Amino acid sequence: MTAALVYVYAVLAKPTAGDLTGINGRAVRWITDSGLNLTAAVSDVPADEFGEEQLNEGVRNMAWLGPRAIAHQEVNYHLHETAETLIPLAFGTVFRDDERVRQLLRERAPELGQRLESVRGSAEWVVALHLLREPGPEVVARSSPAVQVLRAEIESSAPGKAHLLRRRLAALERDEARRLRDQAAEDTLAGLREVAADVYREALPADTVERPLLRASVLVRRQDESRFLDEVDRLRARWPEPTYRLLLTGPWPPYRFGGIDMTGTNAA
Amino acid sequence: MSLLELADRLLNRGVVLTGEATISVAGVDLIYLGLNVVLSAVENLKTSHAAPASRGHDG
Repeated sequence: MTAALVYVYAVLAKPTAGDLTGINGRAVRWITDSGLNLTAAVSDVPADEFGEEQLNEGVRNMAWLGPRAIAHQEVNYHLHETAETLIPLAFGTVFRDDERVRQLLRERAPELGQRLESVRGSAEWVVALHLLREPGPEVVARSSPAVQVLRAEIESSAPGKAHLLRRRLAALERDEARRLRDQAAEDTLAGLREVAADVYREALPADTVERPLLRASVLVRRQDESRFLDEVDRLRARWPEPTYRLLLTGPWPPYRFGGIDMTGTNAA
Repeated sequence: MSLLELADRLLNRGVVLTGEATISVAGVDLIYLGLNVVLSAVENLKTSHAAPASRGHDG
């Protein structure tokens, strides 16, 4: 049998009731420092899978990562359902032994306590707005008085002048389409801020098949959840298919927000 | 929700707590990575009760 390492799923104020199963079917147990109001949910993992080198190889292989990521999420899903607050950790947080986990809880106690408070009673959602196709001329015209004016002018112009104006119209439509894309992202962000406890605008990837206009992590208090979902519906109606697509996943344990707004250098 | 999305949340956005004794994953920008990753992630988590539901038109 190979040596065991300690895999940490989350930090909580206190253990929850009930048995949980973690990665590779191993039982979740608790490491608590008496005196601190902090506990870590952990399970044992084999060193030959979770040593630094193997782990960093493993995460690039979906066949290895998949079931372990699901197990990680299942543990945090259940903890999030039952605990008042938790800090779910990133995949692959591994310690050499229990004492080192205890040491981290002790050393980081004030920061961890503060983080637990900042996400108490909240869940995290991910909202993405994609552009499926360029807004067609009619979509642009509806949102652009300038295009409407120019169109009317073309209607009432002599053929020669109308021809020139049509070329201007094409350029204007391109500019207005760009403005509309920016507006879609900003408007969506503003709508989310109305109902969220916090919004984090994620960086957009530069080179993709999909065309994301916006990707945001959104922290929502449980009591605001229906207002939030109503707002998402409103935004989806405002920026509809087939031009746009608004994607929503959640509720997630606060993976993102558990690490935000902290002074520590390790905030995600 | 796709496995890719789960991996992105857990690996890229997750809270990183490091100490001297910690082993952890180097940042891997998974979401929207090359098509090979996307194709290997076609497994879907919709059957898993632990997966957050995708609402509306999730691809």
